[in-house]
Amino acid sequence: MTERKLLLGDEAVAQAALDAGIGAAYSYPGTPSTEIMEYIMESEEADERQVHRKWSSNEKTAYEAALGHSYCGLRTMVSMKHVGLNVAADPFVNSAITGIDGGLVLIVADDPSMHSSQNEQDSRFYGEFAGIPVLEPADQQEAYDFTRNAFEISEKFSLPVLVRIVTRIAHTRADVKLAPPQPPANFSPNRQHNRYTLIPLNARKNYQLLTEKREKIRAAAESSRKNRRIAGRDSQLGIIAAGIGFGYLEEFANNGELPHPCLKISRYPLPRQKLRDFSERFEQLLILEDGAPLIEQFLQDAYPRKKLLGRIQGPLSLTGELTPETIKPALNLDNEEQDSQFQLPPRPPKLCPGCPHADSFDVVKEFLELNPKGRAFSDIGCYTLGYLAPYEAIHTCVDMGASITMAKGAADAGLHPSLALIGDSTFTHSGMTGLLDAVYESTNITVLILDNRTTAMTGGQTSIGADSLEDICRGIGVSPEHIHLLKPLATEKKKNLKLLVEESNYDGVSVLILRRACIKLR
Amino acid sequence: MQTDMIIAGVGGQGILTISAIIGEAVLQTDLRIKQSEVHGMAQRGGAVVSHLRINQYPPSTGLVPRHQADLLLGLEPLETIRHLDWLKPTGQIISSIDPIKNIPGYPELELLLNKLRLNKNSLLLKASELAAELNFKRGTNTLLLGAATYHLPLKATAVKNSLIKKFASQKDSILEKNLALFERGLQLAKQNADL
Ligand SMILES: Cc1ncc(C[n+]2csc(CCOP(=O)(O)OP(=O)(O)O)c2C)c(N)n1
Ligand code: SF4
Repeated sequence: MTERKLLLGDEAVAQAALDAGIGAAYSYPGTPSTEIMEYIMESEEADERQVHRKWSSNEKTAYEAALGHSYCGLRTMVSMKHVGLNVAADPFVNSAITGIDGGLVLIVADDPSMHSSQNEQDSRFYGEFAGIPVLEPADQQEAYDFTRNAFEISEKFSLPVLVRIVTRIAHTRADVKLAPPQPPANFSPNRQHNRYTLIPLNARKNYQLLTEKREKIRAAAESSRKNRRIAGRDSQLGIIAAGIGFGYLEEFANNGELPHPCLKISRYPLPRQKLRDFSERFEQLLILEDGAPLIEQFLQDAYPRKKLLGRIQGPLSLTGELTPETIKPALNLDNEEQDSQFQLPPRPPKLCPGCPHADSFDVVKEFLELNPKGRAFSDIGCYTLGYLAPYEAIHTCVDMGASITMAKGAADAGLHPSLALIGDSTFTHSGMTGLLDAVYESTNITVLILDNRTTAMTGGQTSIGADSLEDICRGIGVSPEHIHLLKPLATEKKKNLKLLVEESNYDGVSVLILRRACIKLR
Repeated sequence: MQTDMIIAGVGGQGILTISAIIGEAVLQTDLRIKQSEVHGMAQRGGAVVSHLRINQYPPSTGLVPRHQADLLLGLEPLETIRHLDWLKPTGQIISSIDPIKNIPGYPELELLLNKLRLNKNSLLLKASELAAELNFKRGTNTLLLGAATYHLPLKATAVKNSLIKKFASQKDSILEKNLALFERGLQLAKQNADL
């Protein structure tokens, strides 16, 4: 019997990459993708084979390192959460133009319903945009199988391949059957310098090549078994189910038979001809996509008069993840059972008792009471919970790094005091360059680096710059007398508040590093 | 036949450990499993839930639809009630009665328990008291796991083996106490079903 292993979708993807013989894995943590890299880091196999595996500063640096590794002929995986791809978008798009050497597979974990994210953007659109093939597994077994296959597709077309998973794939455990592992490739650095040197002279040729590849990968998606018809009982309705949408449809199968004929979609670019051929056989179509309506929009444009059930025309909502319940009305199945309507108090997450951030917020809150015109621009991490009662000490959280730059822009507009509250990992992810902007203009902002020695929000990964924060700030040019190391403790509150008041009155950039370890840190 | 189960509680209570032990037990059989959980934001003392599905064929996804669960295992009474809508009319409730009052406006416990008692298939366990009787206060989850096992399509020995594997690296006395609590839970569920 083939080996069966109980794996999270994230772990299935990671095991597949190991079995595909990767030489390296790169990543920056982010729910729901974090466990991919964690699995590889803890893997004994990876240890024996000396697979390179360390956290990167951010998703862009991770992606570029992966491209460099692939350049040397070795298979590489890079993983991130959906918004991470916004950060890595520049190398992602341009790597379609350079092409790759060793298979390069990007795993992106989307988060429909925003279980722990700022938005629910759908990464399939990035694939269509860049001309990069996308695979979308419906379950954990496919997550394993497709990731193995993604390396082959990547090498066949000399393009990166994006494997798109969603929270319910990433964070669902299943018994997964593994295939025999492959040996790693040999180190052989690329010699075609014109491919990787995107000066216009080369880029124009490569871009032309990419347009030809776009046709080839589309043809491959058209003929792929990953996009296939599956019989169903009642042909009054045809269903197009992408990724995990197919899993939710299977929920309503009877003795293995689907309620309606289905076209299962798992490989992109959009197989337009296949979609047309299928759609033309039905008067009514239901489109199940766990994300934004990519397929549905195409069909709506192609058949403006057809009855399309989905997210655009309803009955599915335009936002939020699919669930078995949400698709029931579209299948004309009633919810027989009534939901009870108890009013229960919610139990939201909160800062752990003893969290160092709580003491930092106590100071900031009091500061803002003294300075009601002030604003506290903040960022993403455990400390974002400072927005909620009882702290109510921060006013923004937009994207990683935006605290410092928004504080600067607001100060430019005349806001004072303008504070930026940022975690240590977020600071080295993308706060440093913004700090340089402020130093360059000597903007009057006060930056509070909430240094809890770790990347706590995502489970306590190494914060790779936490040991050099003072040096980094000095190196960027913050004047040493305006860099202070403080301890966020109730007993230090008075002292910390006094210093914050002083530094906010300094007409230039000050940095207060509030350093105390997260209590979850072993 | 598919068995659908919901495990509900509060972050830090060990829901993921219970799920993992059941998952490992399923691997010892020919059965297939899917089990979903929520990580991230939910962990810091917030509500946590895990859905677990066992069948001869791979279950379609890891999400149990509402009103379909055969078994609702609650590690905390308010969280048990929060997930009552997932239980099917004939489904079984196993719940700890020990509240975790880390929120403002926590309802009166007796009201919650009465709500649970309305369901004829509910086994409410004084988990911490029972665990203390066996001198292992930390072992409430193992007790509840034992009770749940009675309602799963798994042999108790399979779950026990997976429990042993889980505590293999710890002291013998810890393993023994866990096994004793497991047996106690199993026995209580059996007695309750025989009533
Ligand atoms: C571009 C991007 N990458 C990753 C994440 C996920 N994420 C949110 S906060 C965070 C790290 C927070 O670490 P730190 O700044 O040290 O704060 P802490 O949680 O330790 O308080 C990560 C990785 C994200 N939201 N956006
Ligand atoms: S995990 Fe650490 S940083 Fe996050 S809330 Fe708890 S103590 Fe604070």
